[in-house]
Amino acid sequence: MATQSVAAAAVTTAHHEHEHHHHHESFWTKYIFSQDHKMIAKQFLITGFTVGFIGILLSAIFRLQLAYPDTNFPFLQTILGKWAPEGRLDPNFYMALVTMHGTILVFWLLTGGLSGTFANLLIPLQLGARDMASPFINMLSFHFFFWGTVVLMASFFVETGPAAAGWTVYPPLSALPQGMPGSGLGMILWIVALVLFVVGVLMGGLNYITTVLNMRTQGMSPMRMPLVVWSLFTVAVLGLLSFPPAVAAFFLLLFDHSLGTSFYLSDIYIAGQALPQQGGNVLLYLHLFWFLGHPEVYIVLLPALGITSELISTHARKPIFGYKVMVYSILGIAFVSFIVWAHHMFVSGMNPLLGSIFTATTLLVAIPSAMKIFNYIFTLWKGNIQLNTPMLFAIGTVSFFISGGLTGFFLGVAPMDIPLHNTYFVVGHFHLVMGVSAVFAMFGGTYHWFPRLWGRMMNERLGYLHFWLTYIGANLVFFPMYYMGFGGVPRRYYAFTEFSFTSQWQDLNVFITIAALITIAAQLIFVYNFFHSMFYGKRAPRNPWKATTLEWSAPVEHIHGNWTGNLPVVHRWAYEYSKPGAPVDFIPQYISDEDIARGVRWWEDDFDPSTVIDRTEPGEGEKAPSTPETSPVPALSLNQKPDLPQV
Amino acid sequence: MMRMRWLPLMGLLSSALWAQIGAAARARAAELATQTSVQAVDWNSILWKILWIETIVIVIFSIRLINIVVRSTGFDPFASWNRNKVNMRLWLAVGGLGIALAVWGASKYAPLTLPEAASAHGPSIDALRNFTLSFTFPAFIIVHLMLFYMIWRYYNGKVTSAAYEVTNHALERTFLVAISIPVIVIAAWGIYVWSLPVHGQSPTQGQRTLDIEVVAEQFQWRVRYPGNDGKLGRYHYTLIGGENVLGIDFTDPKSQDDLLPALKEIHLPVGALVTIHVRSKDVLHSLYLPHFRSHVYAVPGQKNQVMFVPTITTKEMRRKLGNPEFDYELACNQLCGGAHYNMRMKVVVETWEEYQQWLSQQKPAYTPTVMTERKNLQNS
Repeated sequence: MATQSVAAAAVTTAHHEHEHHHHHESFWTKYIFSQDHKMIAKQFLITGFTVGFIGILLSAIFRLQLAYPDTNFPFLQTILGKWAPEGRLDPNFYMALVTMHGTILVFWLLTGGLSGTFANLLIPLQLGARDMASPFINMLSFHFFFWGTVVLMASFFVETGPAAAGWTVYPPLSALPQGMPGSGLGMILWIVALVLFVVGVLMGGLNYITTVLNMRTQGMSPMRMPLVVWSLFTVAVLGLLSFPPAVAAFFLLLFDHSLGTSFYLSDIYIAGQALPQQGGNVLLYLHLFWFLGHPEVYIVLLPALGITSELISTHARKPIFGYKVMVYSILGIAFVSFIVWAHHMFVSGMNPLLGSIFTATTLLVAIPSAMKIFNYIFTLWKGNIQLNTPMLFAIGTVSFFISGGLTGFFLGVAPMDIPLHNTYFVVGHFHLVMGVSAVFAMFGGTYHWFPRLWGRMMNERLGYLHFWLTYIGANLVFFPMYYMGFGGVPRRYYAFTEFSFTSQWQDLNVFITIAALITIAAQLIFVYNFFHSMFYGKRAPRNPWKATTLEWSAPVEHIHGNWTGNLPVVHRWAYEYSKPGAPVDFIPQYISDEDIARGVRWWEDDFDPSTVIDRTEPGEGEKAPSTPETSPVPALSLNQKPDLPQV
Repeated sequence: MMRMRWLPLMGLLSSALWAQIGAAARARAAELATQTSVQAVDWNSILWKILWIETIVIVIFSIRLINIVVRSTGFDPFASWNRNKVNMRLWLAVGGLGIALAVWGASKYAPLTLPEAASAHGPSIDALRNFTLSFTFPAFIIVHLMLFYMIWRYYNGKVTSAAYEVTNHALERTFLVAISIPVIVIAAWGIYVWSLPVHGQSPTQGQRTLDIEVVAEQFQWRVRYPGNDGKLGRYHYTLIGGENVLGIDFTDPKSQDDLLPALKEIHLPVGALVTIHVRSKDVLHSLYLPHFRSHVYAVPGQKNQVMFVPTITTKEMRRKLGNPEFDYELACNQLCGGAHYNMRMKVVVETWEEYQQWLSQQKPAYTPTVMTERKNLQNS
């Protein structure tokens, strides 16, 4: 006890200096070089959404081309200049648009934006930590991400255009500037951007793993963690294991591109010249790339499913069904995702024996995925479903995961993949299962945690409008692609006019384009809602959704160190909803049975969780409610676990 | 109510803006009046820009105005709506219509999908595909109906409290078994079909065999047929040049009778075991023969091959489909550059006699020009 009070005194002194410093925080330290995980989450969210919106606008341009291949659109020349002479899109630039659309959405929005935002926001807050294990590396993580974004965007302004060999940048096309203009400087910038991006992801990932392993508050055992933390943790491990091989692949590609090596190049006669490179093979790149590429699908998907678990449980007012199965499913998907990569290469000319093996491993992933779907549906079963915006998006995620996931049965089986490989069936499949479904989880997460980020609520009605337009629109865009896929229509075609088996789908392409343009326009509702609510939204109470997890016990206004006094102590798992015998339909994790017996009324709007959290010794008597002014941030106790027995 | 005090200022600003826009429009109208010739619509003209600005301004001001009216009068037509009920009904409506649309679309677009497989191994792939479809399509509908049922039955409004149902081991075990069965069946069937000679077939008794070479380059296909020896000769990419577009090594006696059809067509005899040796001169391409359910990448520096037995002639397929214009097509299905979408080659399947007759008209690869070029190369 004596040591504790000495420590408390030291903390108080330290605090005054800290507070002093706090008041003089400049624009640069607060918004740009912030080391506060909540600000970094906001940075990731806004950067991710901004680039993501650009990526979606690119798709509007190439959808226009696919629907009306013989029409001139003069405004295209206005915005694209030489890439759309007379308003007719240049085929090479079409490929650049497709490439940048894929790169931006897979890596920037759904890896950086999604994991970056929610891992930064939720891991410390839901685990009861003051901040990340290393706030400085966390800051660097965003800055690498940001400068990667700048380099990627800069490649639009290069004379030969941005990278155009598809988001998978298969050599030799990507390695040979003779092959297409986009493989010049644009390709180098693409690699530089990707390397910066991966460095950012790895720094973030190291931090997430360290934080989850070391900085959980007292009582937060692994099996009490919210599922979103489980999935973000797993994803960080996945990223740490799978991104480095991809970076190696990109470096070798850069060497082939610029230094004349032959890792991937062999026997090439291009532009009237036989190249000296011999002995390399593209299949090496394919293996290295997809060793990242397939886990990447789950790097995108798992956080989305984690967010969906939180949203569905909270808004159905019911514990998540089969928590342990959900945890094992996350781990199972993560493990299996490392042994399925070659299903992207069934027809690449690799040993056919591998086709059988990877068919078996690929279908294995259906089992944990289906278990998750069933658990979501059975969480809704006998629930008390609040159909608010976050819940709508969460149900939307589940719906898209069903529509997209089931078609994996076709693509994961080697013989069925022969006629479907690289067709619109694949485009429909991955857009539904990991594209739209992850974007929906990201939207749902944003609507749900917006009050936690900005202390204000987003407009509900605009949220409904946004959801319904996007849900209907996205289905109308991507579901018909399955039909086209059964017709064998190949992807990455500038126009479907040259083949009779593709040109017959023209009217469906017009339909898809119109649906896509409406869906894209509907995103403006979200943009408006997002920025308007940020400044003028209804002020949020501390726990607007009546959720159990710890992030809602911290003060609404953002302060360094998250909790004004002690860190919360966890007494129960994360899904204590509608527990029989409880006074209300949720019991936050920091409320102990003694608190309930004591008559703490945590459900009331003016309830201050610090009255519970800062009660060091039960029965010692109520302390005065602490506010930022009277109970400052203990600057020295960043990693402190309160009430640990002193050794 | 806070916003109300900005109303006069907004009015002032907007009237100034309108005055500006009006002045610009009048000036432009006067300018246009002096012009005599009638031009096509100039989308970049100032008039269109004004129209765009006007539209945006009108939209923004309307939203603002509605907002202010709602705030000041409290008039809100949606206030009486029950959020959960409306969204639940929308789920049922959108979900029901969506499933109906998916089924209707499947039947509407079924005639446009690939016709029956025209190769010997194709039907086994199609059978597996149809089986998988007969599992996934109902699963898609049933699981969605379960989802919509949960929303309809348990939305807040119909129920007021939730059950505390943490897990149910019997139910979880049932799911595990239920999902494992199709997974195991489809995987096993898939591996079986794959191990059927999809990738490596051997000729049956008395079956004719044909080895041809298809070479991909930006942005066309070339095909090489063996001569009377039935064998393709060596090649090397450094020999490409001049008229020797495929880099054929004519020191190899097997090369000297090889044929290089000028027309962009592949002719295949029906019923023969065809092996296509696929290579690429420059970048990654992919030999995609959707009607034959055959597909393999053309990898520079790697000898890939694909085998199949064409079973339906072009004429027969035209008759079956009732489409006299039908042709088998070879497409590139791996991004290879700007004109990737345009790498087409016609494939003609015909009887052995027709094939022989066609082949006899093709010109050999070893032309006098190639011979001269080769001599020059050796002398230099």
